Amino acid sequence: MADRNEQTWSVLCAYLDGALSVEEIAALRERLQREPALRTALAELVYQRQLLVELGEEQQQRAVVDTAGREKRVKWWVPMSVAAGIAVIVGLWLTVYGPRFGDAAEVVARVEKGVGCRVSGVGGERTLELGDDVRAGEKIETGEGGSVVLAYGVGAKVEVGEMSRLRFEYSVTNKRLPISKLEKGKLSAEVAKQPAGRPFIVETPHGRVTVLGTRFTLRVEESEGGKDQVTEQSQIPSTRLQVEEGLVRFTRLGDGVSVEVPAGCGVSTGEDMAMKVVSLTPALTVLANLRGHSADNINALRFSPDGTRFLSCGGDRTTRVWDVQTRRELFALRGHKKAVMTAAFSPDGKTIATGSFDRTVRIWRALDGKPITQLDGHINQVWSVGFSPDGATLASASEDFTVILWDTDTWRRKKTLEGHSGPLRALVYSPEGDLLATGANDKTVRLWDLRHGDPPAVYSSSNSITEMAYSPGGETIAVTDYGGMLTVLDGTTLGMRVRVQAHPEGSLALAFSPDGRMIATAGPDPSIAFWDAETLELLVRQDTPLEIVSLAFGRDGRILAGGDYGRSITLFEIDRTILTNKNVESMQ
Amino acid sequence: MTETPRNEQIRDELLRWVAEHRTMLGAYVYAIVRDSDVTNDVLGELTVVIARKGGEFDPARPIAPLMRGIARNLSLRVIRARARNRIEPTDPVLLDEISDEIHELDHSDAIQERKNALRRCMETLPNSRRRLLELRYFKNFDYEKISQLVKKSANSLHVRMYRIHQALAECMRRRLSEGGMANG
Repeated sequence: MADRNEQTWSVLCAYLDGALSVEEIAALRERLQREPALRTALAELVYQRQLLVELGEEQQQRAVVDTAGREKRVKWWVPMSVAAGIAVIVGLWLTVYGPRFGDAAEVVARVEKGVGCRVSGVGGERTLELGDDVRAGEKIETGEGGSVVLAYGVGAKVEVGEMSRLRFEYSVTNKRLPISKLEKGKLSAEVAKQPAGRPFIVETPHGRVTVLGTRFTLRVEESEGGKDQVTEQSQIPSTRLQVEEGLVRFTRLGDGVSVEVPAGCGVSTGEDMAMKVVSLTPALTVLANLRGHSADNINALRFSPDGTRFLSCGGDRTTRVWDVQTRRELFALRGHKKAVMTAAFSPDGKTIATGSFDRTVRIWRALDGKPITQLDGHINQVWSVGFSPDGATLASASEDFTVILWDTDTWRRKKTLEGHSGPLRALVYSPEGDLLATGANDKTVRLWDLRHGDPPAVYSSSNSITEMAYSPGGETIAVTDYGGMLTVLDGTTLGMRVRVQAHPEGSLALAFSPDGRMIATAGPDPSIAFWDAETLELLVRQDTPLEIVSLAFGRDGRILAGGDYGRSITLFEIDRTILTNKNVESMQ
Repeated sequence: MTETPRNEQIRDELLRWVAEHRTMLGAYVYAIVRDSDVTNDVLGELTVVIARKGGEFDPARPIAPLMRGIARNLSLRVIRARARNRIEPTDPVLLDEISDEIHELDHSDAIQERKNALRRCMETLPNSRRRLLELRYFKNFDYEKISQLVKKSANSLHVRMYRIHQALAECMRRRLSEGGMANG
């Protein structure tokens, strides 16, 4: 019965996606005439899609309003002197008038601004309005695009972001001490100086923030109940705290370990996650924003071996070659009939290979972009290409489950590697060229011994593989997957060395720094994160305006190129002090 | 033709009806053109048609089939234009089979309730699934673009998407019936 139901939905969605043939549509029409339940299901589906589109439009409209509001907030937050003045005034006001606000002992905060919020508690559920009081025992939930600014009686202003849940309680040990519990979402707080012994407290499922006067932001990534049934990705709930001003004590709830987080620093913790204070100083400075592609998605970026040029593969079916120094586009490689997903420079820098959704690999002269030849052999989309370090072989990985090795003298197929049971996503040669690592949607990484032809070593991941990179010395392979995990494997045995949840919703881009000390990852959170290549300790994470879907380090390791899911490539300068990470030490 | 107060009244009534039943009409048009931008264009064009000729319509005719008919014709015009360049495997006759069912779903007072239920059901989805929905319907990305973005093949995205739709439909039915019981 369930299978039949699933089949029905599959056919209906396929129909609306334009994936049914004329004969299949005729068969569907006949079924619709006889089966009222099918008619209802199709009507429900088209109606649901229209509601989704309308929700999207509403969200966009709210985002415009929210942006306008945020501009105002910036004016209000930024001048520190004004903020400090406000804090003093609020403090004085509290001293004189405080008891009045607290007349009703259970009132915790008052709404100063709010949209799209519901409050529920002992008195039932209501929509939150300007001037409303929020009481202990109640909780606020903000929907999509919703937010609320709360003024606490104790002299704190708290802004709760969209899709958040904040519960108000009193401390079990001190009945007069209010505690706000952020169960999910984001919260930003500006807290006036509190009297000694009466700190302002915010708890999350993972930790407790205790402050006496400061500004900070908290984020709670919520668990989705273990594994996502569709993507089968594991999601780890966690808390991220960023401190903008003053000093914040953060206590992990599981074991009571505390750290003090000063201004400009942050801490993350969650299930099985280490707790380490890191600097929030921007790790990346934007050098240039390059535009030239005419359709969205910069699918891959590669620097030339001499570091003077780099190329970008786009959804617009072109690969563009850029000058690093002048940051100008030199020329475009045109010929693919669908999106270009991958590209590689030959080790001597004279040849470029590109792979595309049009199932072909094309070879180009790197000097001027003149086409050399087209390699037909894959029967499905090509996702990754790479030259062997000696330049004698080009490998291409495809949706058709195979890797083809091409002779670069004749451009003829030398060999086909078969063994993956799912579409290939990534391949990378070891620096010696004797090993080839391939990663696929079958959740495995395979390491092919090209010299001896031994059966490949296999590493099984919990999610589909998205990207891979060899360390420059060949000791390790970094692997990202659709579940957002970053894993470092042994470069010759595929033994797992260390693993970390790099991004909550999947890791989409990966690059190893040329000195082998750092790994950069990007995800749809959207952020770029830098990791110690050996320990996978988070060095720094920087939010990005758009999702970065491709990354590449420049030859000297000081420049990082990031391609986003729009049409832009951003060149960043990397602050190398993030590597030392000594400005802040963990106080565990 | 001179606009009489009577004509003006009929036209305004039709425009009001279209505004109130925009979701239903949008669903109907979307099912034919399968593109939210084009759906908006067609609905915009429908409004223009009514603004121009609305006063001439016979007020005795039921409004819903009349408006659906105009929306259908406007959508078919788009389909025919597209079909010049490629095969267009959509069957508007098939859509006629479900027009009553779509209309059944459309009680303007229940739209907000349905929208709220859908929003809440979306909140219960894992991030990755919600993200797919947002890319497809909020950003109107096609499957190839989403495929590049999330590094999944278009085929597997189709499978994921129908499962998500199925789950959302079940969740909405549950929530709406719970809401109905609570209200009743």
